[in-house]
Amino acid sequence: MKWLIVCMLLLSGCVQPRILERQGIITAVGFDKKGKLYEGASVMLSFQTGRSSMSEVIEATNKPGKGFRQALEARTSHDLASGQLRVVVYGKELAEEEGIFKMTDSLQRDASIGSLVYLTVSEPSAKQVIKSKKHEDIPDIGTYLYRLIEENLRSESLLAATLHEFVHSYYDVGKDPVLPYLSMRDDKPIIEKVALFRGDKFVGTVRLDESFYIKILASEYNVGLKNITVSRDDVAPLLIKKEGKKVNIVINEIKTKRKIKLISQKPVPHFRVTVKIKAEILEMSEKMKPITQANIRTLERAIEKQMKKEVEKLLNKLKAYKTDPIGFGEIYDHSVRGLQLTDKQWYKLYDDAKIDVDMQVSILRTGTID
Amino acid sequence: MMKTPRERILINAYLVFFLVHDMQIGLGIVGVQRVIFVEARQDAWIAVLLSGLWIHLAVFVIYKTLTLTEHDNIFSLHTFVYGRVLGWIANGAVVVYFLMAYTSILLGYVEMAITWMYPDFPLWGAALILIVLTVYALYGGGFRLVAGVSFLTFFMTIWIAIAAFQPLKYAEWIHLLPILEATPKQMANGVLKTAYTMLGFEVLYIIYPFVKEKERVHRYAQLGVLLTTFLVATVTVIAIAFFSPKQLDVTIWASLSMFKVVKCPFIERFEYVIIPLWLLVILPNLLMFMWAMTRGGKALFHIKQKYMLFVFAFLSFIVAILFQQRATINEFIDQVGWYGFWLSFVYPFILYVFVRIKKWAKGSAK
Repeated sequence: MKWLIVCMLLLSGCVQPRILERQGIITAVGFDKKGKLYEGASVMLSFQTGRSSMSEVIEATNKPGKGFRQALEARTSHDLASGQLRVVVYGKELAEEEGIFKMTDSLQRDASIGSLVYLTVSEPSAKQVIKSKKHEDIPDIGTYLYRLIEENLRSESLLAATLHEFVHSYYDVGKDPVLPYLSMRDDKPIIEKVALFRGDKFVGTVRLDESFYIKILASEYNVGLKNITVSRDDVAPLLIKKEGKKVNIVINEIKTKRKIKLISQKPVPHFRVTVKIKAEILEMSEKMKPITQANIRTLERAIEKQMKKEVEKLLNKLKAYKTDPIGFGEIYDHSVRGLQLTDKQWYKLYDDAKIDVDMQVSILRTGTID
Repeated sequence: MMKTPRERILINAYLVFFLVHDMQIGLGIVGVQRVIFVEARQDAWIAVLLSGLWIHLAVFVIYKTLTLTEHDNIFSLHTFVYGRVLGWIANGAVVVYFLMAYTSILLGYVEMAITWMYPDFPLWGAALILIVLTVYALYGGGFRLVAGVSFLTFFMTIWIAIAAFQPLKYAEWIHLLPILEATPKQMANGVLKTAYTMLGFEVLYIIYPFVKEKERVHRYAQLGVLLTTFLVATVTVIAIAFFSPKQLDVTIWASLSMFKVVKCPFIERFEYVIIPLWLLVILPNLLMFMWAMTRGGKALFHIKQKYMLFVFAFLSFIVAILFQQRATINEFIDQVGWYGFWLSFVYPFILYVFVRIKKWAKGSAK
């Protein structure tokens, strides 16, 4: 049976070899729309024997989708490999006019691309972001963008940036995707906003401090800082000094729990949102009286009031954009028996939907001082 | 009636658990979720459970049939019930089913490996490798090797079930609601579509004579089925929560796609471990079906199993290279599922009744 093993070894030679030095490893790609054509740029990382790796940006103009691969291959001596692709940037115009689903579809189809690729929208063209030379001490822009998004996902108010989450929300009836929104500051890509979508089309942005609420409403989290400015009147009994109008509080949310319930469907869908936040105080702009049970209650009430106001404002903003990143529609669809909701029906209902917000904040700790 | 196998090549009853379970878990579980979901929507997992219940019943009936007479495999049972000519045709049909099942598993696996890992590898080459592997194993090993392989691969692959829980990070449980929305017709279709995945327990008809402690076969077979039902139901629930409904509708290998989000510190893409490993999962299936085929061939033509092995290996290679495209392979697999459904889910009940009648007729004639 020795010949059998030999035969198998020979057969395994049929697979195309991949030599590391000849590979151009793509870590990020960007797509833009220019007139009728599409522009694509990608960061290619190549390894050299002896020297350390280097990155290079290659560009091409072409029709959409996979056609780029050929056009890009023509501009490099390396074999392009997309197995390490980390970030895909879509120019704002492209996302706004065309929608990006067609392009994410080709990412999904390719088995070599993971589901955890980050998608983003960028304010100037994607090309500009990709070509940016400022990426701190990280060798290539692709890895920089990847770490930037990852860091923000973990600690800040950014939510849902992976290919899987985007496609999931896109397909879900009554739920719209959100993505990080890259903007350039001093030629360096940073994240200040979150891009909202209707279907796969970009419709607008919200600031990171607003997207904090989308995050805690859409699902449950347990890290992240939140800066809240409450009015002085609400916390007056606690304060020692009597000047100024606002009091700034930074809380660290330890755990959030949310519950969204459909109370009634007629005449308009009526939801009740309950969010429970367990938090600790990190910073306060003013000195306060010693912490007692009653004082904490007052503080909690003030934060709840302010948060409720901000959530309601955000929900109105989302309704104005006609986008539902929190997924009220999904809850509606799955709470009502025998209903085949379509996106179109949902947007109509969503417009008049009534949403009650109930915030419950409990402060667990106040740091090392009172 | 075939002569009883010698003591030396008998297996212990507990191995039936692994044989039955491994035969059921094959390629289907990689992508079954979509297929059931399309029919029964969020109630797909209920369809799986119903399907499992039915299998428990079928296994019971198969066991009853086997103990009813002194004929202890399907081929001799057929000759007993239908006589020489009709029995020969019935046996031929069973062998054709085994051939189809073998080829469909082979093609399904090869196609998956090509799509995910080796797009430029020829289909015939991959098919050949697997067929040569089957022949190599069976030529030297025989039935005891099949049992040994299922025992080993079970422990080498069961840990994958743990990794399947990682996608739960992205789960949205609301997708499972409202429960029991599917109409009876949708549910029936769902049960039917589960069949292909859960097929395999019908090999009981063949392996029964090879088990040492006959009275414990039934218990272990039922346990094997129970584990399968549990696993399939679990991956179905996870997939429904992980994907959005329309997304699941278009995902071919849902289980594999779910592994795309499994992150290990030392390996970037987990599916690339799973796919080669899956060869271990389907190996008992390939071996078992090929062995069952040769067993049938022996009953049909009275030729030594050793020689039948080469004949059937050649036949399955020919069948395999007839298929090139995903679409045709898919239809073929569906067809096998349909055929297998009748043979394993419905036919045992009919056969049982026939055997009973025949036995009664014989008894009253005496």
